[in-house]
Amino acid sequence: MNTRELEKILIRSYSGDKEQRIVEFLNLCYGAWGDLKEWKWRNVLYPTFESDNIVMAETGGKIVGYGALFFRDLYIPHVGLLHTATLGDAAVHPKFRGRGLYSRITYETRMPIAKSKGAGLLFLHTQKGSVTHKANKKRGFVEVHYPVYIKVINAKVVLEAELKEFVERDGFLRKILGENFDLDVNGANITISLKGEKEKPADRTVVRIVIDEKALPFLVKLKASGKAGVMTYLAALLISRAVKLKLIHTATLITQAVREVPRFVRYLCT
Amino acid sequence: MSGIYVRKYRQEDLEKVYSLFRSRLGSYVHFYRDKRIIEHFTQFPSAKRAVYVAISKEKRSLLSGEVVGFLVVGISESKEYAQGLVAELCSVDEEVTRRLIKKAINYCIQEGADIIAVTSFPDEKEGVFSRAEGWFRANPYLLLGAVASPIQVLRVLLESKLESVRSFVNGILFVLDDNTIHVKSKDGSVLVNVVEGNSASADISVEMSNQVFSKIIMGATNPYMMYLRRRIKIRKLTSNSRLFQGLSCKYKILKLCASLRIPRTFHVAIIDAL
Repeated sequence: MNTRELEKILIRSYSGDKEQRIVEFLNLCYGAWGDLKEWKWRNVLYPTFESDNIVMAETGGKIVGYGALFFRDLYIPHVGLLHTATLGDAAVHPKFRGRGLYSRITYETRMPIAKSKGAGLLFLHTQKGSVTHKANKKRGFVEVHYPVYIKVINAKVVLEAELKEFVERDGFLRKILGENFDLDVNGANITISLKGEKEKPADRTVVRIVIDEKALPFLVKLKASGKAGVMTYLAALLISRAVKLKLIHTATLITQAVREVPRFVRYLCT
Repeated sequence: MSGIYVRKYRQEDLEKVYSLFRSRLGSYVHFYRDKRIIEHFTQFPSAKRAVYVAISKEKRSLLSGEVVGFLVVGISESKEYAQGLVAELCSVDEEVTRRLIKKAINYCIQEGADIIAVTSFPDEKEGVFSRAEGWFRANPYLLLGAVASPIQVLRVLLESKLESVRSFVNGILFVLDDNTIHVKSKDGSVLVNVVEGNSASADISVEMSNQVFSKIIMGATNPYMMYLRRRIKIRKLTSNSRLFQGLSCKYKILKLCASLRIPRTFHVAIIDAL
């Protein structure tokens, strides 16, 4: 994409149409964002909603960027109410990423709108370690932590999904483990296939991961840890035998691991 | 509180739920919930959702018949597994929380959720959410905050600092990156205005960047440290001998800046993050 094409992108406020297209766009960008009912509840049905709380970047009639804004009062003890704005969902079409469109939507459009509507403070909810988290921290945003408690009802299903996502995101682990690996949670055996196959030839599995329920709290913390944290947690889990790795095809595994050593070194250094 | 029962929320409970929020959340920094917002919460857009209230039935208590707890739970199926989200939880004590959470867990199990997540008050002891009861704490999400408009922030935060501002007869000049803000007390109130350059007469000027100002307001740094590191510069603009004795003037300004800090006792519910 060239500069001229980027210049053609128009950023405008929501005008009451294209609701379904916005939801389709969010689902395209986020994977599984939600449905129209949820979008309406979060945005147009929110008590302080105004049409310019939503901005869209468009080119050739297509939505390529989106950003939402919410206005609400922050109650401060012994002070009272302070008008604030919260940056809601923002998304950029995969083909337009890395070209400064997020900055145009957020810093050049949403933030000035928030300021012009009298917001004293600006908030943003984000996942720890995400690109948004890092980018906004550099711009002077300050972290406010709040405690979230989690109780796992169905460990098998949760671990299967989380582990699959974790390995899929991490190219290095994916290379070593191969496209299939076995997971054993409290004696229940499940096979994870990163290719999305339901069935797979048994001989392709090189590692079986055996997880004890006591490892759950640590595994949840893994999601919000940096690289050093991940290494420490994994080492602790392996030492305490809460997680065991059973090597099935050792030779295949060693070959795959050796091939990945240079990449692993680079992974640790970055 | 032992004499309570939990039932589904009804429209007529709104007033009482609003009172509960006002009394329970008063000591925390939180996103204000007025009646419209509470009503909006009860419409949580999940195909599977439940809204519960806990009612006191202690006959001799002042709270008898009052709503002492409120909980919104919904099942989100956007991931590969179903998540039970306790989107909002407010209760007068641990016992009420326990009863409401028990109800939410039962609901989640019945509706096929694989995991349940809840946020609690920042200073609350583990209690209901202890490891022994199968809960564990995780901080996967966080709130990021920054100052959008220094003038709005100063207007609200300085309103109650009349005494501190009054000692600077000609006022204080806050010089931030792109704003110069004049603060002065007049007729028993604090006036905060944007001025061009250094045109306004003031006793003292305080210079800092927007980022430092933002960090002070959000409680991420303290002004004394910033002054020592020369990230805050304080300059006398007039020769008011009574005001500028020793370090007292600079100390007063730094103390005023420190008092602007928003307390870190943020209460954030899952519904605030959606």
